[in-house]
Amino acid sequence: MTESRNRNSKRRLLIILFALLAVVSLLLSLSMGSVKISLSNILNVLTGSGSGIDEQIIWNIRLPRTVVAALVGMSLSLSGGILQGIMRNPLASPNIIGVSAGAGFAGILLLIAFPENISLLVPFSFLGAMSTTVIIYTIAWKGGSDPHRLILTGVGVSAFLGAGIQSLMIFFPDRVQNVIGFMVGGLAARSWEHVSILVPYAAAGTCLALLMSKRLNILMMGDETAKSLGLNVEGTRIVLITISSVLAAASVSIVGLLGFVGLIVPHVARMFVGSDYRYLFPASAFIGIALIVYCDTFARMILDPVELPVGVIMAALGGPFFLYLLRRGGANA
Amino acid sequence: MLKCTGVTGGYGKELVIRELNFSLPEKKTTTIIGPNGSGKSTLLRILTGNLKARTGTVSVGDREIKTVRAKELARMITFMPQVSKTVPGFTVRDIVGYGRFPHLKFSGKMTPHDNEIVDWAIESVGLTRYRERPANNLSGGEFQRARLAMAIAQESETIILDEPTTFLDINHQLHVLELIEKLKTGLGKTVLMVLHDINQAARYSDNIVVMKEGSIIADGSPELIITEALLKDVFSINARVFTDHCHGRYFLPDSVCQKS
Repeated sequence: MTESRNRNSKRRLLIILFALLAVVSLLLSLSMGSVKISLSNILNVLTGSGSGIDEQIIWNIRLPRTVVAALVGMSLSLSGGILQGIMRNPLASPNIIGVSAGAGFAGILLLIAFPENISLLVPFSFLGAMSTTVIIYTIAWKGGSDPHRLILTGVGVSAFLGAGIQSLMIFFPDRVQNVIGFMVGGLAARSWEHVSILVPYAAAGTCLALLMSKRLNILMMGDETAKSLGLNVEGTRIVLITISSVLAAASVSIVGLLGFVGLIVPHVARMFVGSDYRYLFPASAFIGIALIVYCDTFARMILDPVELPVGVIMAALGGPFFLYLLRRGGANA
Repeated sequence: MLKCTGVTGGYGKELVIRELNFSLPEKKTTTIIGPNGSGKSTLLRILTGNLKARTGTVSVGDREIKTVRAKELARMITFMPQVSKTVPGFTVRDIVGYGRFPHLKFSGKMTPHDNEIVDWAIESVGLTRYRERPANNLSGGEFQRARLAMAIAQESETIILDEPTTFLDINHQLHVLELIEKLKTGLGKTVLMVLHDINQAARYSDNIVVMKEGSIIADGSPELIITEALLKDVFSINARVFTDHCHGRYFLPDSVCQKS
């Protein structure tokens, strides 16, 4: 029993450490930029006693952007973690359930075919992402939803939508400029309006994910074992895929197609706290926040005053990590 | 009592079992034997609600199992499938703890009583010193014992096991079978399992069910069932059958029958 308590205490301690890492990333993001703002000024502004240009910069520019980054990092990480558990596949990510392809196709269709309606980009790509998940789940259903069939259906549908995206870009080369930012993913000019769109999805998704963590643990032991333990396997899987899809769809509709976050973060968290989702979810959420906020700060600073899209930094980190997973045999798991 | 009446079932267009009737004797160990593809696992999957019967009914007590909610069914019947995924990092205690899931409320929080049952279940399979060890670091035999502890922690009346000794060496096979015997003799459980080793089935069962081509062709005590004629008819082997007071009924094979 003592051994078990020690293990759990160690995992809780690590989660607190990741939370601190996330808080530091948030403060750093508020502090760094073309204008450096000291920690005491940040605290003054946040507690309502700030004034002047610092207050304007923090409240109107950096804070909404940082909050969007944090919510997106948390949402995409949880979304990827859920899918890796459901699919029992370490390489699953929101791309697998068509969120990226669906949001991408819908978003790019809007940007290219109806550029005058750019204000509808967020709801349009959200709908694209969610409806693609529904289509994939429906096609994969054959007396039940086998995880392998879901993955392969996801690959097929994503390839089909990818063809659609490419066709749109070829037929409308003069409008491609609009699309690039969305495809790469970025956080520039994100505002409180975006925060207010994201908050309900991120909050509901995170609470539900935490509530479902024990069920996800049981699901990972195989469908028959889970069913024998009294788990409604299909119902649980549908609920979890819906949570995952909502979290990812809300994120990509706001920041574009940020690659790899959903793949990387759950793995990093797993290395530290293990596969138990009661610990993996909070750890992933904090690492997700920290990673994306640090990457965004880095993306803003590295070529200052030019700003790189955070998606480029994420992909540059994600690519090598993906190869590292392959070397460790993740693809065969 | 778990029973099925007029059950037909299979996968896709293929029917594996046809018009099958079966009642599981209570507080006894019943073993299903039969050649590969005879429908043993399919019958288990239908009896446990893991596969829907095309026709016929499966009932537990006086209720059809399709009307019983998943958690309630799990408190009545435990099914240990042939293969279970090992999740890296889950300890023996974690896995056995999941056996309490059917008894927990939605939040999934374990009470001190649940923890006591988990510790007792681990102790009863002799894994106390491996309690905090990651299950993926256990040997095949130890992992199978951990799964049995999970089944014990589930506290259902009936435990159904699909080939519980597959992939184990002879020492671990016997160890697992002794534990299964304890489920009946020590805990008063009703046990149904599928085994490939006919001598082990005869040694550890009160009742043997023989399946061939999707039907039950014989059902009774090992002494009645294990005969040279049956071994020839069902498994196409020539064998000599012996009985002694220590080992009960057993056979030694001569050769594979030549098919005409």
